[in-house]
Amino acid sequence: MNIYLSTLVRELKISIRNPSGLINPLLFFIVTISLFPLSISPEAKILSEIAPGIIWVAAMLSVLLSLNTIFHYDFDNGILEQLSISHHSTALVILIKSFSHWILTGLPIVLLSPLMGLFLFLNENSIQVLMLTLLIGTPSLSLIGTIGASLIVGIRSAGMLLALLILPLYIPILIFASSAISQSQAGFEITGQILWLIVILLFSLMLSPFISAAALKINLD
Amino acid sequence: MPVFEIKDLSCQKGFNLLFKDINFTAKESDIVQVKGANGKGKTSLLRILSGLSEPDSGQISFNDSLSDSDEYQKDILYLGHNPSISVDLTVIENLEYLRSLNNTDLNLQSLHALKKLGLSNFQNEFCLNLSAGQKRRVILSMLILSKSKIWLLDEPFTALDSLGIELIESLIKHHCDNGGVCFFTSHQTSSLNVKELVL
Repeated sequence: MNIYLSTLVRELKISIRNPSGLINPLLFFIVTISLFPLSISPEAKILSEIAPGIIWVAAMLSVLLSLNTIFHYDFDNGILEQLSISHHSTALVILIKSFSHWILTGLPIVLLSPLMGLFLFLNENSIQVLMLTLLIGTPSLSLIGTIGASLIVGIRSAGMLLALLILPLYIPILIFASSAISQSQAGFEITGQILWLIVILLFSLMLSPFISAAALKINLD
Repeated sequence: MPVFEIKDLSCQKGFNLLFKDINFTAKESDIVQVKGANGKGKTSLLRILSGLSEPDSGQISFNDSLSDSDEYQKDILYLGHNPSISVDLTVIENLEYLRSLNNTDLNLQSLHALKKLGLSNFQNEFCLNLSAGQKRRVILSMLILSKSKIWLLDEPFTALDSLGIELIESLIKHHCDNGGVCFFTSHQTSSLNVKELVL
């Protein structure tokens, strides 16, 4: 089997056999969002106003929670060494790893978001925009997160360091995505924000695998 | 004619100079045992030869291809201290993945290699349930499947029983008799006819 396809299959198999890594971020996403109506107000008007921010912050933090697992496991067992000296492109294999991370973390969040939107009284149109922003934004979270994960690989208990490295890079995505949902609630045009999210995704796609490959190379030396 | 050449190789880890200006040549069919006390840099040397680490100075070439070239990387099989297997995958799944990463002979079946290493009954067993020696045998199955000309084996006999050691020695001998080159580190005395590289 081709290395890229076998990497994808391997990542999915390992995650399915270790469901806690898959379920924990998703549970975090649901629990965090469900705490807001209890702590702020159960009123529809208030909740629908703050819903875009809440859902996006929860999505961002749950992705952040799962980033540690991208390379940590393969660093410990020596697979990253084998990958680094193989004649295949490390950057492309990293891109596949980011993609599988998105399938296992970002995609479930996208699929669960309509339910969370309804829970926070978002209207139908806003839920569609929410799903669209998550569909474009969460792959960027996985790709940018891969850079952070490759920088901290080999460092024990580096969760806080990872958050410090990655959160500033997530801020533009958070701003454009939650602004798109708020604007759509107010009936304004959202093309600008969506285009910016696409630009960020394209940049992440182009740069993140190469930066991560270089960071891994340094960490394996 | 020398095919594998190490020129003026030096390596420093922190403030500790592991080795300086090593010059060494190996020709086809050479089996090289890297010797030295603990901490003298045997593993570091193999990591540099594999391309995993950068030397502080010097260069390595195989048939005129430098160690950072694609041709050189295709000719390398490096088996380090790490098991290079995932405990959540079965023996055959791990081996198939290692094959996709390395340059292996597509005509050979993975099962054939597992049979030779005494793991044919464990092909669908999760590696979590294997002993240390059996885990080592999974990665060592690559010695049968690999098409790479240079083998870099870091402590290949660790955790193996005497039959396992004999088998690995016969695989190394067979590889080198067919024109390959093998560098390995071991504190054990080997029955192989080796050329020594002392650090």
